[in-house]
Amino acid sequence: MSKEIESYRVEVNGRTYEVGFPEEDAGVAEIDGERVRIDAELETPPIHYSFLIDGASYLVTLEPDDNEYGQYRAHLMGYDYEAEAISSREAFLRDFIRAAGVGKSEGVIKAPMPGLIVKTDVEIGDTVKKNQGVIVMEAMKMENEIKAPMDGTIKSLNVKAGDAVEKNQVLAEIVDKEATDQVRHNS
Amino acid sequence: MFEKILVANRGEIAVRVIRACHLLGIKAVAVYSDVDRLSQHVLLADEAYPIGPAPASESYLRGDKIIDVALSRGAQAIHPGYGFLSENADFAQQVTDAGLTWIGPPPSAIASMGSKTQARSIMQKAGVPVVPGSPAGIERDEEAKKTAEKIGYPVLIKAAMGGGGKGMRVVHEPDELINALEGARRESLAAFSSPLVYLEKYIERPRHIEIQVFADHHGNVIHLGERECSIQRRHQKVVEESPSAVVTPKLREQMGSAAVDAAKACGYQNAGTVEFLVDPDLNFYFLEMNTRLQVEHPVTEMVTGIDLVQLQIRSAAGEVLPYKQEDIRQRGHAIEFRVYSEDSLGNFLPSTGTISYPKPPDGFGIREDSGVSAGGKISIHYDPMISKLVVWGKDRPEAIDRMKRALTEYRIAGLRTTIPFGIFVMNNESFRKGEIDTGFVAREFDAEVLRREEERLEKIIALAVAWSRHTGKDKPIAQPCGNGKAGTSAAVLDGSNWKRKGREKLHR
Repeated sequence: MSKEIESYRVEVNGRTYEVGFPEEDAGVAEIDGERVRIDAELETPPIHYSFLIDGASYLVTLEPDDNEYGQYRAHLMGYDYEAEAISSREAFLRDFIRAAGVGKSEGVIKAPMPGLIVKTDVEIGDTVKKNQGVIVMEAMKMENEIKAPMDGTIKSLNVKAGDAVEKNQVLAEIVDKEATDQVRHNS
Repeated sequence: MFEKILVANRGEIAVRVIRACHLLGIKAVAVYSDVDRLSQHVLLADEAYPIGPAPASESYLRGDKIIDVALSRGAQAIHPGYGFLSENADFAQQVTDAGLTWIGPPPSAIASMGSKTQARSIMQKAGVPVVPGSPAGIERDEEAKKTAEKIGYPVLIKAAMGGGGKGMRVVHEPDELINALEGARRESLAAFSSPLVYLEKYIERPRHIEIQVFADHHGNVIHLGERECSIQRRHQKVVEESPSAVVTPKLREQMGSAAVDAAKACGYQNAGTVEFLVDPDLNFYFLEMNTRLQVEHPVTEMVTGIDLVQLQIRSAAGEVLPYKQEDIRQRGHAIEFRVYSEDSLGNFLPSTGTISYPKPPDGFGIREDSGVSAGGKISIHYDPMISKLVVWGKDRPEAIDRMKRALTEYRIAGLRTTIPFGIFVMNNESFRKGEIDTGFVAREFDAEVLRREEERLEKIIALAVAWSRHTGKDKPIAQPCGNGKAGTSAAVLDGSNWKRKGREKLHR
């Protein structure tokens, strides 16, 4: 007997879950093959939802991204989640496109928060070790040291002392040793 | 009594002061920066006037504009709240010179306690115990090295004009000193317009316990017991409670009378706080005096039943303190937790954003002092504190359990908060036993515990998000789909109404 299930690939804080909804029973969901009973109601519009999952009560806030359909910011018990739900067809397409693309080994250093650059401790071409302090930035009047995510060489440095930066702005890029050698070799 | 008071602040403390004004039948005037037009303090005040752009230096720190508003709108007094201009002696003087009443201590007391080195010497003279350290601001590195050798490592570098942990560094080894000095001076210069720092002996495993004092204009000075504020991250308080788990009636009496002596020594008036470090043997040392209302004043209010802001206003109007020392009793236990927009799981990095539809907890024994509302922005311009959650219980264990309940009920979206951290603290064995000191967070806090809990709940989020996507509840549907018209996609034609959303992204 074949049952029709509409399934979604959901990524929550970087981890992937397969969630399906069998067509014949609106009160059931499957997560990674496990069946649960699910009941959901919008509790306080527009973002507070009540979920009863196998009877357990959860108050979840769901904020869909206005620009990126299928992307959400969610909160539960004080925890903050970034999530994306795509249909199995979209997932298939995306995997296909990814497989055709080329991977690159680079470390991008992004601003973890909006703030002000206090100083930079490296220059382009410098060799850095993982966790070495690279940039000092100030936010909320506190200084925060931003560290290198990996061993490598500074490929680009996009900020200087006094610059105001936005969250996730690329501050510097690091290339690993092999890539560095390759760059040298090619040039 | 005053008829109209200008509140020279924003956020929860402005709201707190406005409420006290209204309780006394006094009109409250708010001032606001461009980004605060819809902030709670503007909505609650009787009148509100803009004073400039978002950066505090162009608005909430513009004493001249604030005094102009007070004069032109007929306010008779200014309440500064905490932060901003509250500990600025020059501003307090200008307010007084303009013929307005300053709801706070005399400018001379602000000035002498604002200089930590001067405060130390006043306290030494008054017989209040102080931590060994350098007597004055240190400018030369050599001098700092010598002093550090003399008092012995580890030493603490502190901003002479500062507070709140900014510009503070612990130095364990001599070769770390110069770098730490540089960093401390930079932070101090940015935060307090002065690079002057000084050194102090670093007391291992100290508890931070402070005494609330109150002085009227008629020479009466009392204390209202202690607050323990040992749970700190980055040297900033996050959990405060009253009474302290370790303060005995005898120690309370000793610290209380030392604090009263401290207030008298600097000619204090109005509400003030004398901060002490308490070592594991319960010796206490004067740390500094905060010449203003403290963020954590509610825990004192909850156990003494005294409205401190109301008392501030009454006292500034010249009333005699209605309480004698023996009238002050602590009843039950109160805990405050500061909800900050910071990532509990990510090293307490600031998280900015817009708060969406917060739902604070309520019920017996819960008080929430908050200055933000739905759509309220936590911007980089101001302190990232969202609210102060305060609970009362008949004793410490009950207060802890009530705080845990309150924190788990608190719903807030739009940014990351310290709420998971708060739940961790309330569950922590050492905290529950009262075995805490200022090293608590560094020693006890394990973000992994929170990460495991976060991961455990991921499945719920995955189900919720998939359900939202599946049912299309997240997006208003502009027009009905699946009506079988030409051009409708296969997903719709196969009759599954709930599949219609899936095609949207594909076909865009």
